[in-house]
Amino acid sequence: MDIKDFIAPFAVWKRAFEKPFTVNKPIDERPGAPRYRGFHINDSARCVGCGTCEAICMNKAIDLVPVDALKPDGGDSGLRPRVDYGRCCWCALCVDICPSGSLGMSNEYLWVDRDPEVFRYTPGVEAKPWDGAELGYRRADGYRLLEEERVDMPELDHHEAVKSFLELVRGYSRQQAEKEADRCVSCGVCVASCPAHMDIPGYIRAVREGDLEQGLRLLYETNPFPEACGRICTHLCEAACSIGSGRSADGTPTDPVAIRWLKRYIADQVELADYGKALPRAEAPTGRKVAIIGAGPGGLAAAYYLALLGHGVTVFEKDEAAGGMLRYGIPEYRLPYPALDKDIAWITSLGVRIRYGVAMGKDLTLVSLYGDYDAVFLSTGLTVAYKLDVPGDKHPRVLDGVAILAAATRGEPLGLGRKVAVVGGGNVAMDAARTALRSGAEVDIVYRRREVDMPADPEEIMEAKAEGAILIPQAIPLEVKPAEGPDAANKATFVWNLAEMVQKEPGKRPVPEPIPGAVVEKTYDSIIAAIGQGPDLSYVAEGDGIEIRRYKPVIGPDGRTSRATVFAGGDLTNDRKDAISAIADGHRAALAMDRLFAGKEA
Amino acid sequence: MNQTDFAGALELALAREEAAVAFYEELLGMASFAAQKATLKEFRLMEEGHVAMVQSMQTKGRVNLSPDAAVDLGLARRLAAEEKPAAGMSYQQILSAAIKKEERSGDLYRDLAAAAVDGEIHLVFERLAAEESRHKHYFEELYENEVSRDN
Amino acid sequence: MKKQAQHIVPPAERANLDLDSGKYLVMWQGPNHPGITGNMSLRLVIEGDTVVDCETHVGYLHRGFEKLMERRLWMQNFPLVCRIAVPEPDFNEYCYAAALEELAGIQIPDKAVWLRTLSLEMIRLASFLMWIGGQAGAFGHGTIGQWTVTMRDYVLDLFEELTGGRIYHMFIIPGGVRGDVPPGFLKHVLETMDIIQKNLDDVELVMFHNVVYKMRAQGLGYIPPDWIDHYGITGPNARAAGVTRDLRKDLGYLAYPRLDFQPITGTVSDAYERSRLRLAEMYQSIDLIRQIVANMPSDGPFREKLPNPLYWKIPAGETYVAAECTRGEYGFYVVSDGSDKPRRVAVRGPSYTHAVSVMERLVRGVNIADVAGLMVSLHTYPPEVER
Ligand SMILES: Cc1cc2nc3c(=O)[nH]c(=O)nc-3n(C[C@H](O)[C@H](O)[C@H](O)COP(=O)(O)OP(=O)(O)OC[C@H]3O[C@@H](n4cnc5c(N)ncnc54)[C@H](O)[C@@H]3O)c2cc1C
Ligand code: SF4
Ligand code: SF4
Repeated sequence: MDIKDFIAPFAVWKRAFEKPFTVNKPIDERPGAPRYRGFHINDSARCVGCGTCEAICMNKAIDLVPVDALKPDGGDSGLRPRVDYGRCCWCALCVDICPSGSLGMSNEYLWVDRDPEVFRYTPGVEAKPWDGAELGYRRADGYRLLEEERVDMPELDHHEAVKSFLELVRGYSRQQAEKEADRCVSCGVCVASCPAHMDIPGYIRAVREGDLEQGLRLLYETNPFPEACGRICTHLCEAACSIGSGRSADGTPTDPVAIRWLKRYIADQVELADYGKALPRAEAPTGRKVAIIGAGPGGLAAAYYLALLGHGVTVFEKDEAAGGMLRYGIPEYRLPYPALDKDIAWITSLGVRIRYGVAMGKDLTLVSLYGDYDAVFLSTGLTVAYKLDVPGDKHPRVLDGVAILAAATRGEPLGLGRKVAVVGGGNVAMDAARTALRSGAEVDIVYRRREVDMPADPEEIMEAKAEGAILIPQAIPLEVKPAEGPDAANKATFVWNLAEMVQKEPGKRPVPEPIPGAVVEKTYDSIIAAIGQGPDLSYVAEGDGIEIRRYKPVIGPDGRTSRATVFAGGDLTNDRKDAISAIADGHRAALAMDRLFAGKEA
Repeated sequence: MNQTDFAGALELALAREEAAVAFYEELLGMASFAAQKATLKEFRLMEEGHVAMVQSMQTKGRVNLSPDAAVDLGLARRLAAEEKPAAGMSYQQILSAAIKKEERSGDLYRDLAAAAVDGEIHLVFERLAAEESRHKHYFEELYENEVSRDN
Repeated sequence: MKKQAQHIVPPAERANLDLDSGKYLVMWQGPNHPGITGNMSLRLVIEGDTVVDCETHVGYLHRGFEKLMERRLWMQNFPLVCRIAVPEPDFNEYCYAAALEELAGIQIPDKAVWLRTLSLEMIRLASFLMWIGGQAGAFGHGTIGQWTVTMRDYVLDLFEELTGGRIYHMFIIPGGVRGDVPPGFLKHVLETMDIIQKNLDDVELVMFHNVVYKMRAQGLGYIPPDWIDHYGITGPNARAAGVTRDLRKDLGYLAYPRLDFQPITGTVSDAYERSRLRLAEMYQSIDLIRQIVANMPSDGPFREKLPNPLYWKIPAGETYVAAECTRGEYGFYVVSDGSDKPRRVAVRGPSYTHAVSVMERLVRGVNIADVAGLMVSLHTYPPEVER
């Protein structure tokens, strides 16, 4: 031992007079670090109630609970996460995974209360002092647990696309589909938004796990048109998808899961010959007979589910092929006929009989069916094209959009000429414009309101423009005049008035008001009107016992008309006027008829 | 008809509403199928309601109509449907005709209001014009939402 | 003064003692011992004030982590593993993440490599700072603990700033780390290192040049070099016995191959030597942290994108990933059956060897008053014994 060993320890005294390291609460505040993982905060307006936070929490500290002030709607379950601090370990995985990015943590770490119950609360709903805290844990830029971008869909480039009617969207490969399916968090907020309430998380899971037969089975539970819907569905589900509810680092919205393309992937991958392995066969015949008017998606969906239940189905169709507007409206570059034919082939394979070339009202009357069939389903769609309704709209160069598209389907010459105006902003207008482009025309799309007001799918508008169509918005049609100059007989002059948008009534959409003097005239070879369609209900006579109000059969919640054995659905009755709603209507009517036959309802 | 006093003004209004009922009656005569008939009957019923309303104003001796004109969606000015719809008439044609008819009534009342020297009579016609504008607006909205969905 | 100049080595076999003879007293240390030595217990047999026999008892802190992990998704285990060794959670995070990355064939970005190395050295320093307080305290020198626990808190402040958590950092996530350094952080690191270094100088002076500490620690708990492989002793306990064994060098994981350092070894292999060696390793950590700050790339990605954690499946296989923690070899053995959850995870904490087997033998012949000090000199963490 050294003398130092006796003296050195006394050096501790030098610190006796130093300022202590400790913090004097409450005189000194000691805020948590800017990244501190303190009590949760949730921006309830951005949260979509998807429950992904609940799913990832390994402590089961989160429960999704209903919140009175919130109404569930497309893309919001109306639930919000409640955190139990008796379980939470402050890992913030919930914050990291939250698709909407609404969940965060404050840097507050002190909370004293005698009542243990209060330590379980719903952030963003039950007010807390740290609400809206600027500081606290947020997931870092460049760090995400979920993939925010969707797998790119291979597509024809626009210059190629416009040269032919080849299908534009090429479809995912297996690897692409599985990667895209991996983006889904199975929250199911999409299911409520789908008119047919398809089991979306279920079939996406099937893609992820490579079990396509299971996928197909799930698709057919609610939708016998997976090939068609996998291409042209209006995909409300994708608007609801929680994965699309966030913001990427650059501020743009995150991409929703490509639900529609995944549906298509499943149907594309299973050969029709193998459908039988995956899908149920029809039950034993019940002896009941149902007549269905119209072989569109609504009518055929009803036919499919009725046939599955063992009921005999006859479909009466005025045209020479089935599919309704899916065939005669939607062009083949969006929905190739073989894909549609595959859907229809499976339906008819169940014994559904389709009688082509039978127009109700002309070849047969409704009453004549009442005796032969136990029930009737009306789904005749919207076959009457509305007119421009301006002076001169009977000019022979004014054509109607659905008729042009039907002619294209039938392979008839379109004779549109070089310069074409398409009037309208819906899907029919876009399809007519793009069909005209493919026939080599220069196309102007003349629309009365703004581009944002167009009812067509934004993708459709984008593609029409990319393929060369010129959009002329805020143009009110005034008149169609005979053309002047050379070849005047084969042309017409379209006159419109440019408009400004005026907010006339609060809460309603702005109204186009003509700007005085801003009148434009242009001469076209064809003017295609695509302003809207209505039903042809001339086949329903007053004595048929079917109440009609404003050109719509009046139906109850199960699709039943005022006559107990007659049901209606599809574009004819619903407001959405898209394929999936028609399919949902058909399914609903089939189930209602089955209940009717079983005597479960008067 | 003396439209310079109160009773005369209401007399005129009554006649116009009755003419409207007759208008739909005439169309109904041409209608061939249930959808047309149901729609026309509904519109006729509305006009019958208007007739009753004017009659009640006559008995009560005062005009209880709101002075607020409805927003003009501008359809009447541009729609082509001058000619009378015929047997196969579509929903579009019926609505077009209805809008035009309401517009004509409104125009007439506005003219009469402008011509009226008596302040009270002026007021009566103004209110009748406002009432017609509301009827027109109703049909315009139907047209916008159900016919011209895509434009 | 020291009783024996020569080290006595307790025999491998336990003596057959007649406990009813009245010569012996059976006494339990723990499991309610308040220090780091607690949470497990020693059943001591004493004769006079000398321990003549010992049986180590564990099981008081068993939380079943390994089993729990089999029922959680791969990513859900990430916040769980840190809790296995409370004062040094980051080694669990690293080993778990690295094992998964190896099984799934994931290469992590360089920035993550550096940030992981930084975390591991910071926690090494923090853990030693806590240990040294315990070591001094066990021999009656409470002041050291007051100083060094404060220093540890300064490191925890740094962790709070970097990761959002003080004790459980949950920063090393499979694929990389959870964030880049916040602005000003590296400056705080260097400032804190200067403060700690100054404090360590004081600790060195008053603890290691202290007659009481020397008298009690020198000669205590001598571990002969031939025990090292026999028991699987690792870390400072092995290095103090002259065995150059340091996974940072031997395995060369993370950024260690790019750092300039040499394993520190001793010769005497007693409690005093081990504590001096740990002190030297604290200085070494400070040096490594400064090197990391100087050499770490300033930007670049810090995490590799992984599949959706809700369904992430890892190809079937097994691996063992180890790292040098303050106590020696820390390792995770992970088995995947190809599903979305681990089939089996086994955690190797060095304290299993040191606290259960080595301690049991080493304590024989030791004065009862030195039992706690001996145990601390092995730097054992019962939580990692029981997973
Ligand atoms: C150009 C265009 C593009 C579209 N794009 C899309 C899209 O991208 N996505 C989408 O979801 N929806 C789209 N739609 C809408 C979709 O096609 C319809 O919502 C859907 O087809 C409605 O189905 P339905 O069965 O009700 O009627 P329809 O499909 O219209 O079928 C009605 C069937 O009834 C037959 N029929 C009619 N009257 C009689 C009668 N008197 N006797 C016998 N048979 C009769 C018709 O020939 C037809 O086959 C589009 C529509 C058009 C016109
Ligand atoms: S949006 Fe975020 S906070 Fe809301 S339920 Fe989903 S994961 Fe939880
Ligand atoms: S912080 Fe972790 S433990 Fe707490 S609620 Fe979120 S996921 Fe669950």
